[in-house]
Amino acid sequence: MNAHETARRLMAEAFGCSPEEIADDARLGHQPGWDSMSHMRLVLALEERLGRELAPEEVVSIRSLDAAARLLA
Amino acid sequence: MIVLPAFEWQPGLLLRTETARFLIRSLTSQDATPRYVGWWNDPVVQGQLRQPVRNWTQTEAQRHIGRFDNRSGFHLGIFPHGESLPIGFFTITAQPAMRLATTATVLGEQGWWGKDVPLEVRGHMLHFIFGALGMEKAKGVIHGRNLPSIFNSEALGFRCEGILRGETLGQDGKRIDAYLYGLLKSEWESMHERT
Repeated sequence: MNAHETARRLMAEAFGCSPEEIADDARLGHQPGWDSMSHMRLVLALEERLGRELAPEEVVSIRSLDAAARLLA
Repeated sequence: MIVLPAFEWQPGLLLRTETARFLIRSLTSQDATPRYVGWWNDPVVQGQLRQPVRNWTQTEAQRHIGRFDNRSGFHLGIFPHGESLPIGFFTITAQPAMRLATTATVLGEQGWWGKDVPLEVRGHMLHFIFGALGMEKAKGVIHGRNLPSIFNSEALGFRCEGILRGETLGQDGKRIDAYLYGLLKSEWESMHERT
């Protein structure tokens, strides 16, 4: 599973939907289920996957599926 | 047909407006209820602002409310429709000479956390800030890794303009980063032209 697929799966788990429901261009504020609490779950899931806490600059960069994938690459 | 939000306000007088779920109005000394005073003395609530508990009495809370002149400073209660007590407050501190307003949202009633209250309230009040109040930039500071607040700022179109490392001290004595978010009126207008 590549970084993009992993990011999609983590997003789906955080948002409570299936990976197929995560749009290819999923963006903060434009993806159903992406709210303040699911955003927190997503950030924590990324950190658990990476095995480290994200730097502040990384935290504020998580605005899209692509951005989440770049962190995992 | 687009219906713009309505705001009952004249400079120096109490402000009142409504969203889908809330009445938002200027707090007065009568709003210094045990609930309101309790927020200032609650470490969890004050932790949102990375502030220590104030140990305020009702008199001190009333004095705080009285500091806001409803001209350049607003301390607005957030009241669910039909309820007489607020669940939190929204504060605007304007610098008219700079046409710059700083905002802050505090939800004292934890049962409302995670229910997109700041998104609804702040999004609504931006119409006032960029409209009747005449501001050209709105900004806010997020203390520490307040991930829901970061989301709320990003979702409203605010941009992270900087991160001040170790800017404040947390209640546990550790240094905490401060995230600076800003939104220009031109950016906000562009977003609303597209919707």
